[in-house]
Amino acid sequence: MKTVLVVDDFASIRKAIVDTLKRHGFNTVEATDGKDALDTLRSSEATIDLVLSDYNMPVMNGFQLLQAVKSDDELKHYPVVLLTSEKANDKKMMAKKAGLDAWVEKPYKIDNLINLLNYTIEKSKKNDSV
Amino acid sequence: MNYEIDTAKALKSFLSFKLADKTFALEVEKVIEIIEVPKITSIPKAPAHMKGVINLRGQVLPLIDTCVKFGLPAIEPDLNTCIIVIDLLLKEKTIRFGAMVSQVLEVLEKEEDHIHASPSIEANYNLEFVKGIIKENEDFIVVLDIDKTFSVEEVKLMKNANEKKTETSKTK
Amino acid sequence: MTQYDQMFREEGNEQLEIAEQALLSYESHADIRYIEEAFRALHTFKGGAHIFALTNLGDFAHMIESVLDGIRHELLTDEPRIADKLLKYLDHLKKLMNDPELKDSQIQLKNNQLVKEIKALSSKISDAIKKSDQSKETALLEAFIEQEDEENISTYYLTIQPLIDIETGSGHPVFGILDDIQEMGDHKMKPAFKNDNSIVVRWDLYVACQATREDLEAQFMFIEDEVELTVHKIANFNLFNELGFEELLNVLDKTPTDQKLTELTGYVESLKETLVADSADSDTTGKGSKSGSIRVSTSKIDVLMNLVSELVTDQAGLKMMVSSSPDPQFEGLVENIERHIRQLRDIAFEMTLVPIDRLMGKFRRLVRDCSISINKEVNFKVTGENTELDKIYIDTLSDPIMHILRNCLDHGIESPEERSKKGKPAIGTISLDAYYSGAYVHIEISDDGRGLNIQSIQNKALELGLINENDKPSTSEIYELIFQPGFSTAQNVTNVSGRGVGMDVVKKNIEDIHGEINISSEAGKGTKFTIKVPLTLSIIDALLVKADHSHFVLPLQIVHKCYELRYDSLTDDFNKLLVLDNKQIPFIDLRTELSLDKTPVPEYCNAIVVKCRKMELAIITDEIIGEYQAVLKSVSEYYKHQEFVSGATILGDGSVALVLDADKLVEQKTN
Repeated sequence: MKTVLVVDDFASIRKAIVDTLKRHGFNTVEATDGKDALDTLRSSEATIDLVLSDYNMPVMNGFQLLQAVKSDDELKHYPVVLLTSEKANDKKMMAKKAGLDAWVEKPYKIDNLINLLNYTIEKSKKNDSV
Repeated sequence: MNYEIDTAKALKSFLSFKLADKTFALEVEKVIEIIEVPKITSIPKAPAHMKGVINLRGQVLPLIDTCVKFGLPAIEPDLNTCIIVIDLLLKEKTIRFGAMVSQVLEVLEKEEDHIHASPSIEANYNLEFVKGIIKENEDFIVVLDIDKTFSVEEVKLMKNANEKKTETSKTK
Repeated sequence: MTQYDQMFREEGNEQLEIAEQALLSYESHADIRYIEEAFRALHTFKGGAHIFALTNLGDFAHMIESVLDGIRHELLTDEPRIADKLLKYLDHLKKLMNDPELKDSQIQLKNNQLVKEIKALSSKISDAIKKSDQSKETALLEAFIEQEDEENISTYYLTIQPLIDIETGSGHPVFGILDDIQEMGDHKMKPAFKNDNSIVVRWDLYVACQATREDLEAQFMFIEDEVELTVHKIANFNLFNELGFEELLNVLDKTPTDQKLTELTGYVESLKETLVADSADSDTTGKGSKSGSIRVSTSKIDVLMNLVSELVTDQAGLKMMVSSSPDPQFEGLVENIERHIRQLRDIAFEMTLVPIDRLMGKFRRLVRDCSISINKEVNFKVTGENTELDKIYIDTLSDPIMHILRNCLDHGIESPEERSKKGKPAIGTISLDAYYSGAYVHIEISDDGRGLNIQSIQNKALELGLINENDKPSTSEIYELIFQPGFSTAQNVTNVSGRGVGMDVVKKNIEDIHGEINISSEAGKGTKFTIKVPLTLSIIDALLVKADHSHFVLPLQIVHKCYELRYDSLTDDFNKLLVLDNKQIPFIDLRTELSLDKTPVPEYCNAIVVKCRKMELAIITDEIIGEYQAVLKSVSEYYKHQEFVSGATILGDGSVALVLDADKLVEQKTN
């Protein structure tokens, strides 16, 4: 079973995403902001397959989290997907340069999100094994 | 109090006019103006009651001989002959035309309920064109239903009737 | 889901609280940082609202956000009491939290009102953006934007070619992206597969949306090593609203890939021709200087045209006066006035009239695209494309004519097989013929197809309750039924003419400009639609003639030559042919033809040879009075059946002369 780390400061949104993912057969781990997520990744006993994070968050936002993950040799194998209502292309571009794996705009379609998460996880596994 | 009750009965104005020696009337609000007979340009091959066109201050108006329309002999214009300019609302379009009459008489004011329903006495006229009758002194005046009398459809029908006549005469 | 709702409500209110605090701070101390803070809070709020499908909340928050964004970028600098307004919007948003579906009519009312208000603010911002953004499309396209584009919608053509094997149903992210793009607006997508299996080799996607090319490209950013993308902006307005675009898309399905773009640009060009032609006219004068054109209301133009007409009529009166009092000074003055009025008339014409040719590109294209898409071969013949009609009418006519053309193609013209079976040429013919008749322009659209089926129209009308069992409508009345609302020929809806626009709309459009439309049809031979459109300014150079006691006017344009001959020489000829310059010419004597017999026949008469549309003809009159500038007036519907009279004009002495339509005279005679 695949495990997704869901990062969002909004508890209601986080819960909604977590429930959706569970319904579609994912394991989930939760974090309330970038800092919390980073701590979880570093300490986690459980294997995490993907980080699904909000963009705008207090303390450490999604982009900062992404940078932290991708610049850390220990963590950079984690695929990161940003889930956001940001539409600015420059932010998207910067995120891509920082190593982002996928960008999902809110509102999203559940099926498309699930497909994307599965695909992203598969792809990163393939890349790891190469 | 009485005064108020009186005005509650709406007054309606009618323009009375003569076709040959018979008196008719129409509702005044349809009348734009009354003019003398100018030079008439006849249009060939038109039905007999379609007298032609006239120039009303730069506007070309069709002219109808109202007498012919009601089966009376055509008007030979004299000093009394007048043209009543009327606006007709047809299919959201306003059509302005002149109705030539033998003589224009006067404007009568009658209470609305003084217009009686279809007359039985004046059976000489096509009842379809009659809106009602009003009583003036001891005379009955036929009020014409302008919209029906002068509708383009009506003219068309006349034309068809003519055509049919010629057709039947041909077959004979 | 209610538990999230509850949670969202709490957290949402928190965000609104933050935004409110920030705005209050901004009100007392205008620091952009507060705006940014409010922006972030609202942004978060919006994201949440959208996730819980609280669309009204999300949309409203989004609108406030865009105003904040405008302030942040200093695009809304001089708006008074902006913080006050923003706080008002926030208050409303709070109220919406308790009624996200707008069930309370009060709230709904308030919502609509505020949405309007915010949109006004946003448009100020987008204006400011436009001003600051110089590097836009070409000047040509800008003219286009002004005309057509109010919501900044553009139409794009995207091709997406997978570089890896992508199967339908594989859940590859590209499907999600394609989904998202299709949700942006009107669209059509067509995938192509590898050897009939489910591996996609290419998608063609046409979409009309507000997104920019960059936005669309960014959608594919994270799979750019797996698909190859091209994005073409083909128009900066919504092509899906244009007639003929759907047909074009059908054609494109059958077009080789490398030619699709050419087809598309060709289509857009044909649209542009009709739309931008006005500005192109005046642009030839010089580059750089913006064409010196102004916008004038059509009602003013109408008044101007009427005055020009009046002047021409007055001038005819003056000319008559001068002929009876030969004062050389007066005469000179009148001549000058006449010349000036003529110039004024010509300019008025230029201002108002355009040749119908403007629309032909569009029509040719439609016929071509349609015929390809329904597999019928059609020859489209156009005559009289130089016929000019009012600019304001041209656009109104475009859609009805397109619709009729589709009908001809779809219902009129038979399939090639059916045609050969009937012994007709396999290639059908659709003709469009435009010509003047008095104060009207006639546009005839005819096909050589199967003709209207009287029986099936009647059945349909019965079914719809338009006629009764006992009615015995005449053939022309049956044709008229087609124009009844609801009488769509829905039984054979195809993607060509089954677009939901009925002939009733066609009729209405034409009647809106005081025109009319008639149908004639012959079973097995074809159908003809005749559209009559009045000219607002119709002053023609004419020949004034007299027959018996009546004056008539003939358009000088058709007059070829005039002869004088003895009146009794006409009666000698039993064949009703006249020999003029060794040529036999049929003739029409106005006296006999129009039953004019008030005055005795003259000794000599005039034969005026005119070129009708179908033949040459001599018109016999008593007298030719001379050239005359005739202001054409309609002779009202009462004389609808006297078709040979195409109008009337007022002479110098105030009397009315009739304008003759030579073609209709011939028609009447031959019938």
